[in-house]
Order: sequence, then C-alpha cells, then structure tokens
Amino acid sequence: METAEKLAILAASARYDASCASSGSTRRGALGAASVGGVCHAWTEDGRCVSLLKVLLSNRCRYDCAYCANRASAEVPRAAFETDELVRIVVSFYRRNYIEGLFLSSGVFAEPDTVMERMNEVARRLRRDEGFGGYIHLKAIPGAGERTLAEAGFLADRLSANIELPTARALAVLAPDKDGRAIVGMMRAIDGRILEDTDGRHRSGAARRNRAWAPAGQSTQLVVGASPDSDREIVTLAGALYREVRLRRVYYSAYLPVSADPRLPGSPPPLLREHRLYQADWLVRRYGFSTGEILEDGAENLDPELDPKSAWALRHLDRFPVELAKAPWEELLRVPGIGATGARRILESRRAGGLSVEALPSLGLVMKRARWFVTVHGRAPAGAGKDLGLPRLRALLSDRPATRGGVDGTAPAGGTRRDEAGGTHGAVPVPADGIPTVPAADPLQLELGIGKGAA
Amino acid sequence: MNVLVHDGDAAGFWALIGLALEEGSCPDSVARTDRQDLFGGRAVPSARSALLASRARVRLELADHRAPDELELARRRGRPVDLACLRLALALDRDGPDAFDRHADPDRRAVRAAADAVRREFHRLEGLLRFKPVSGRAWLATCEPDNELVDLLAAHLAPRFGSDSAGPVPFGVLDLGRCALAGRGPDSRIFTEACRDVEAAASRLAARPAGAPSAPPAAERAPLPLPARSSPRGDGGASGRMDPEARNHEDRDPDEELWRAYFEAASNPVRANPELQRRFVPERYRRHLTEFQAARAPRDEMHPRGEVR
Repeated sequence: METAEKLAILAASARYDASCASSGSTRRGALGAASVGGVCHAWTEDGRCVSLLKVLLSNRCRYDCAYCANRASAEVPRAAFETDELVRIVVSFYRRNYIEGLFLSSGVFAEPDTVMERMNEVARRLRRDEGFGGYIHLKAIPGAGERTLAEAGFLADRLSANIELPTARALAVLAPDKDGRAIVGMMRAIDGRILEDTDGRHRSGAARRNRAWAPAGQSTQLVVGASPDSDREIVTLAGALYREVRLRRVYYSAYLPVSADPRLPGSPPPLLREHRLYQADWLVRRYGFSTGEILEDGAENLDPELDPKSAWALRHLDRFPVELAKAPWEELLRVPGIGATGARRILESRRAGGLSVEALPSLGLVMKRARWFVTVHGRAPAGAGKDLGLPRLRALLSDRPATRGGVDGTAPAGGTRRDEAGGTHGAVPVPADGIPTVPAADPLQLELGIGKGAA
Repeated sequence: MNVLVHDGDAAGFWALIGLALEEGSCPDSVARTDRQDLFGGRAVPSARSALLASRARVRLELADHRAPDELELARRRGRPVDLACLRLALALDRDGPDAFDRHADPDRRAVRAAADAVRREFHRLEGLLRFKPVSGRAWLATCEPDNELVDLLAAHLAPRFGSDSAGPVPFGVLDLGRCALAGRGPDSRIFTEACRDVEAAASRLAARPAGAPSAPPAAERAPLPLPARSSPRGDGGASGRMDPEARNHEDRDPDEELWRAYFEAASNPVRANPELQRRFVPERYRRHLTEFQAARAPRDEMHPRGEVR
C-alpha cells in the first residue's frame, strides 16, 4: 500500500480523538523545539485546529467497542505504518512547518505492551536518531508494562489514556473489552511518575518547568452521547480526574454514529452539548468553580440556552451586582462577561485610578453579559440597574446559536437537550443487562472517589 | 506646526521617542518617510540617533518593564500609531506604571490595540507559514502579513531547521509586500534585509561565504515555487487557486501531496463547519498555504477549497 493511502486511512481513523494540543512543554532538540503555548498550523474544514500530525500507528484492533469506527467488526480499510515511513513523514512535515509534532495512537492489534512498544519505537527513532525536539503526544494503552510506560514518558511530552465513557456500566455495555479500573490505574501510574519526576527535580534544584517525564502532563477523552449518562456524571467525573490524577485536560467528543448497533442511540447528541461541557470544564479548571456549583438543585444536564457561568449567576442573583471597585480576583471571575484578561485589567485600572463605568467597554469585558451584574462606585452601566425579572434577563443572556443543531445538522436548534436525550435513548432497545439511566454507585466513579459516603 | 519625521524602522522610531523624552514634549504630528522635505518636518539628527534610541529604551524600562516590548510591538503595526506611542511614552516617563494601566486612556488603548493585532498575527503566522525547499539545502516561506513580522518569525523558527552535515540549515521568511527577507544564511548568520522577490531570496539563501563548499549538485536543487505578490485588484489568493506553472511544481512535490492527503482525511465531514475554518484561516492567508493551493477531485475543480460558496 502506498504511503499516501496509508496516511489517509490512518488519519481518518484518528480524527475522532479531539486532542491536538501542543502546549505545556519546553523541550529542545537538535531538530526543533516545543512551543510552551502551543501553535495551531492549520484548520480543517470541520473548523478544528491541526497542531500535530494525528495518526494511528495501526487501525487494526482486537477490541469491538460499539461507538468506535475502528472496532474489530467494522468493515473499514486497514493499514499500519512502518516505523521508518512514519518518522520520515514527521520530519518532513515538521521542517515544512505543517505541524508542531506527532500525536500517535493505535488500535490494539496485539498485546497492549507490544502495541505501546511499537509506538515507543517511532518516538525513540525521532528523538534519538533525528534529534527531534518537537512535541510528541503518545497514547498510553492500559495493560502495557511498567518499563514500556517509563520509556514512553521520557520520549513523549504528553501521555493520555482515554477514559472513553463516564461510567463502568456504560463501558461494560458498549466497550466490554475495556476495564475502567485498568484505565484509571494507568492514569494513576502516569500521575505517580510525574510526581516522582517533579519531586526529584525539586530536590536537585532543577527548574520544575523543565521536567523530563511527560512534561506536558496527561489528558484523556470521553465520548459524549453514546451512553445515556448525564452531564452531571460527566462533569463530576472530569472534576475527579482533575483532582485525583491531576489531568491537564479532559476532552469531550460528541458521539458520531458509526454503526447501526442497537446498543447505541439512533442519532447523535447536539454539538451544543459538547460545547457546554467544554465551557463547564473551563470554569472548573480556570475560574475556581467546583463541579457541584456547575449543576445545582438536582439538575442532571447543563442548560442548553445559557453558558454555565450565566446559568450559575441567574441561580445566585443575591450575589450580584458585584462592585468592581472592590471585588477580589476570584469574585470578578464569577461575573458573566468577565474573563481573566478583563479581570486583570479591572485590577490594573483600579490601581491606576482609572476605573469608571464609562471605562468598562475598553477593558475587554463582554458588556452584553457583564452590564447586568456589575456596578462601579455604586453606578450601574447605562441601561442596566433595573429589575428586569428573571425571564427577561435569561432571554438577554441566552447565546443559543440560531441555526446549528446536531452533528448531522438535522437536530433542531430549539427544544431542550433533555428532550432530545430522552427521545433518542427512549428509542434504543436497552438490553436486559444494559445501562441503567439512574445509576447508584458506579465502580469507575467509585475508583475516583466519587460518591463515597454519599450513599 | 511641530512635525517629527522618521523612516519607519526600529532605530528611527526609538530615536524619535528618545527625542520626545529629552525635550519633554510631544510633536503635533509624526510622519514616516525617508523624504522629510515632503513634510517639512524635523528629523532626529542622525549623529544622535543611536544614543537617543538606547536612552529611550532604558528610560521606559525603568518607568515600567512592560513598556518597551509593548511599544516595539505597536511600532510594527501596519497602520502606524506613532503619535499615540509618543504620548504614552511621555506619560510613562511622568507617571510610571499607572500610565500603562490606564486602559481607558485613548493613547493606551490605541497602543494596546496595535500591539495586540501584531501579537495575534505573529501567533497565527507561527503556524501558517509553509516552507518549500529551494536551492538544495535551503528552505523558504513566503507571506504577506499586515504587520512587520519576518524577523520575529525567523527567530521563532530557527530551531525548526536544525543542522545537517554541512552545518545549520539555511532558511528564510520573505514578506512579499514589504520586500523584506529574514532568516539564516549559509554562513549560519541570522539576518534581515531587503529582498525584492522569491528568486532573489533563493539566491541569497544559496550564496555561500568565501571558502565554503560550492553549490550542491543540480540534482539536489528543487525547482523554485514562485508565488508573486498578490494583485491589488485580484482575489489575493482567496480562491486558493495557483497559477498553472506553480501547480505543476506542486504536483511534483510528493510531500506536499502527502500533506494535502492528510489535511483532507483529518477533517470530519460530519462536523463540517467552513465558517469556523474561515474565521481561523482568513482568505488572505490561503494563497501561501499548501493545503489550499492544489486542485483536488474533479468535482472540486468547480469549487476549489477556500472559495466562497
């Protein structure tokens, strides 16, 4: 098979993995260097950034995960790269500035340790023979041995083990070959080695940012909408992953129908659901929100009409308006329409004595949202300050896109996701031993400390 | 009317700031030209230029360590904001960091907007430059940025080319609009200089210092890609089409074909969102991007990628 044909097959097989970040590493080599902030090199027609050459080493797989395009039973063309072939492509693409590095994953075509060793071989050739200093993201295959993982961490900037689905119950039904505890075990092993590396550097006085073992940390991905799990379960799981195994990122990938498997929903979730999960994730990672604050009062799913910060603000109107002349950083970040840059500029303007209501639009705030929640020296922005009532305020803050709906473009923009989820999963014949929609303590979530003591 | 004139380069700009700081006053207007007779303005005396420039940088660094970088970025803006820079420099000298943090001040806003625009385009072009082999070992990328960036880009990209058996690999970034080339020459030195077109750039990157090995054999030399500057009334490459001669060259580069194959396969058609793609890759950049240059399937000949459908 020609290299171009292999590349097309193995790139198409890898496009369901959402991660393509190249940030977080300061590695340098004889050929190239990582850029700590990451660089996007292209944007494909689906609007996604291409930073890394994202391919599978092989799309042959022993596992038969229902939601996966490369599952064992799928009738798709199969291919595998030779090590030299892939190394040559990476070096050429890198020199031409097409990419920032390599994202290498693989189908599990043999024992996990063998698969991961084959991926290590590619990375080893790049690092040692080519002096490659660009970014490498390697997929960690649960079940691989300690020595293989240890080497992978030295070769790669980032490692990731995909959690795949939010609960062990969903995994048991849709990916019966996968074991949630083994996945979490792999994450814990990676986290342990990162901590070891950090501590060792700290003791020897070396700069922490120049860590040698997986310097850009670890990430994971989960498929949204293939199982009936709620946003609450997903957000709670993500929060636990950030807390328990110190993930840098959780990526969410809306399920795309790849087969007529009766265990799967008949239609995809709206892309808006994925978008809202990313917004919620950002609040947890960057703005100091707890996962419990994202979904309160027993809500199971994020509000499709409002971004999660606006939704939180409307549930806590008693905390507003925030007086910008006095509020601390953490409080500023909770105001809809104020991000980290806006908050920094507010603090700087305060210090320089230049903060006024009139100055707010020049500080980079999204006034469409912020105006309803702030005062400066007791004054509200023009047009705000009146009691509009919750429904009117809610309508003003809504950012629901007018046209784009589901992944296939057919899902309506209106209606609630809860309705869509109910409609979708209601039509799916869930097997007798299928995924219960109101789970009690789930083994995967218990593994991460979720729900302990709750029952 | 008090008009100060400078030639638009970094030395002239910083000398101008030095003069304003020394005099403690701001001119009524600033003009960029090497022909001061056109404006009748006052230029910085060339004998004092270097001293004034270095004094200005030190004085502003002491006023606020963020200021020199911000003003230097603003200087690179295609649409100059020199007068705002001068007024901000004087305010910084007088008030220290407070002047930098008064975000609502019109001069501070103008400088910040200019610096942010330059930062954004620099970050975008870090990824959107495409290098092609020229003259054997050397690599060349062409662009037409809104702002003055090629020297910054060359510094950022230098590690990407590493070394081969003959030493550090030469490369260059050519700004076709400003006719400026920055990169690393065959003598391993980083340079920025005037350069009229791609052929001149290729010659510069291939020219070897005295005593160095001769040019590589003809078989090692790749044919030149020849993008010319966008036509002012043309589509600026918005359609993504190349001229036939260039396309013939494209067809002969197997790694460019591989990249296009990858780019095509990496996109998920079920999630197609060309609006988003257009936002991230504005049409004006596409002319220089490999993935937007060649014809794809015959069906797409009618609607080449990048054309507004």
